[in-house]
Amino acid sequence: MTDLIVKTYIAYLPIAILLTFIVARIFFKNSKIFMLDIFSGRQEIAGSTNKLFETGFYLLSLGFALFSMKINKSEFTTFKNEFVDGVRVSTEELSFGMQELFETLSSKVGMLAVVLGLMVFFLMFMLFRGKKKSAEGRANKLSLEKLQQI
Amino acid sequence: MITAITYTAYFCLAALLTVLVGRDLHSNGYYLILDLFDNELFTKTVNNMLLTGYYLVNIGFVAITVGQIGEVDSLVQAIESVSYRIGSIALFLGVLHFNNIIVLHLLSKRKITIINFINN
Repeated sequence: MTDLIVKTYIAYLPIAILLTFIVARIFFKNSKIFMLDIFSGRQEIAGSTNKLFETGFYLLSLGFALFSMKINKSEFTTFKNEFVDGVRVSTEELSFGMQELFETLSSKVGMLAVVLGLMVFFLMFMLFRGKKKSAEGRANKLSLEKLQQI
Repeated sequence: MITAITYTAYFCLAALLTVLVGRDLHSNGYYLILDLFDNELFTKTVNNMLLTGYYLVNIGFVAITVGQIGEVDSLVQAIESVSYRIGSIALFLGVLHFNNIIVLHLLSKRKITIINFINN
């Protein structure tokens, strides 16, 4: 029975890592353009900020994936109390078959995907906010320069 | 025997994670600090000091928590405890990392004061 639990872990790890890498690559390839806009075209600082966000994203998502990997074995354990010759004998039995393997695997991968999706939406919100702020800053600068010219 | 292997795997993985993340932050954080200080020599020094402190704190933390795994009986338990600990370290590092970015961003609002302080 514990063999199948190990197999679940071995199947889960590559799926989680691959999912994180694919999401991060797609997201951070496209966020570069936003960063360039936020930092008004300064290549170096936009690229390094993008890289820093990417590192943080990897840390958080892989950290969550590993943190929540453990399978709660008490869900699949049945406890039995029997009386043999007036003495209570309690036995516990772990039933973890192929069906349970796929059920736990899909629920764990689904949970990871939901968390990744929430994180992507949060980062998108941050990017839009940064874009708005930098546009405001540029507009303020422009109006100040016009005032000084007068 | 399996306990020793678990300890070694945990320490190696955590040290690898620390070094990889630290190198990335060291090379990319340079431009952020340079933008804040506007002084290359000072930026290099501060960056190196930050990296050293980061390595010390992290590897020290990992070395302290190695012993807390305890006896490991089976492969399942070994995988579970190592992944749980590595995951919590990565989550902690991620939170700390975004915190650092926020602090740098907040400091950049007082950029002119800082640049005057550093360069005069």
